[in-house]
Amino acid sequence: MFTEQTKYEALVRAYAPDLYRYACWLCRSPAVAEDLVQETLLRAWKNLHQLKDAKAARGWLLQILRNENARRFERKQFDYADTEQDLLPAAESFDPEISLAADRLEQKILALPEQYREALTLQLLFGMTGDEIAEVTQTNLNTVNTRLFRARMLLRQQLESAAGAQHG
Amino acid sequence: MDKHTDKLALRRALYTAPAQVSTQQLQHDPELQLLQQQLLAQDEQIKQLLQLEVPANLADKILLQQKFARRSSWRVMLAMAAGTALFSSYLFWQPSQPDSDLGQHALRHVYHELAALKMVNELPTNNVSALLASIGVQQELPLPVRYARFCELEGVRSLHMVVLFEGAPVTVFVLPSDVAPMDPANQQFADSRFIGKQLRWQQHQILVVTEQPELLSAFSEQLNKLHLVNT
Repeated sequence: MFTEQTKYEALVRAYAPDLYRYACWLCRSPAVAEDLVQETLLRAWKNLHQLKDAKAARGWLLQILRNENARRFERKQFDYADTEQDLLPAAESFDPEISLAADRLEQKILALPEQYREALTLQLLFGMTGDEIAEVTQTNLNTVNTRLFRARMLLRQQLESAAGAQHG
Repeated sequence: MDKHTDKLALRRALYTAPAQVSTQQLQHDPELQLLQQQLLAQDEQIKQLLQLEVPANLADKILLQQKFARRSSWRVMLAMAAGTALFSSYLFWQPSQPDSDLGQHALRHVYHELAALKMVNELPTNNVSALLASIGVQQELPLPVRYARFCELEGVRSLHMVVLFEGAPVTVFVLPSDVAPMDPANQQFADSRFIGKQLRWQQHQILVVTEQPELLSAFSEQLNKLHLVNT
């Protein structure tokens, strides 16, 4: 039989990496994201009794993280404009052109309105369905679909426009 | 649905989730087929970008922090229990001085610990219940408690709590049962920022302090409904 501690450790090991990635794209700062994940998982530990079904763990944690992020804004402890950093790791570039393209795409994703960026991240990072995204973001499926549509449309338009400017 | 509408719907579906649209649906439309390939390629690039490098030992750091938090939480609880055991029998059984100016002391104390009003984390119900039980209050306070510690209000030991009520922090001081009630004329007190009132909770006097006057009566009414307070 799992103890509460065993259950918690399994939860942390299974979800901390993806929570961190999601937090990075949500708040656009690796340093803030790390704090956010720590706060999220500490709160999860305090409220572990609320988690009745292991299958619901991912959605439950994502909702805690979103709440913690909102709480941070309320407390105004962080000035996101000051803490924004490049998300791409400073790893060596294999191909300068690929790196430049990736960097350009990263900037375009970061520049998306937060709600669009969040829907896209949940879909592509976690492989979530529209209904699952709607549950985590506490909205409805139509809104999620609109956000996904606009996110891809904006990205495509901006990348095409950037490519046109480069070649023009 | 006509052909044009059908094409628009498919285009929208592609932008929403390109991997969810089957190639059969697009077999007669090379333009949409190309769009799907481009969007899928873009999704693949995004997926690679999303896979950021995670700080080494992130999970271990979190587990370590949790263990410290757990230990310190136990220490706090033990310290509170020990403190309560040592002092409650002594302090709460001392005849306390009735203080006609207790309201003003409460206001000064609120200013002295203003940071308590900014606490955002809810304390575990069990911890709060244990503190309340230690001073003889057997009923739970049906509100989120964000701060709780024993303080002295002009020589009178009291439990100082900050609870969240209708979205705002409200300070509550629970005084020993043998503190004489304030003069009825002084049961409400205020300064330029805060307003407070003395109420009764079971056998105890309580002082409630808030920045919003309307919350004071609402707070009193709510507790009255729960048969916790007799004003």
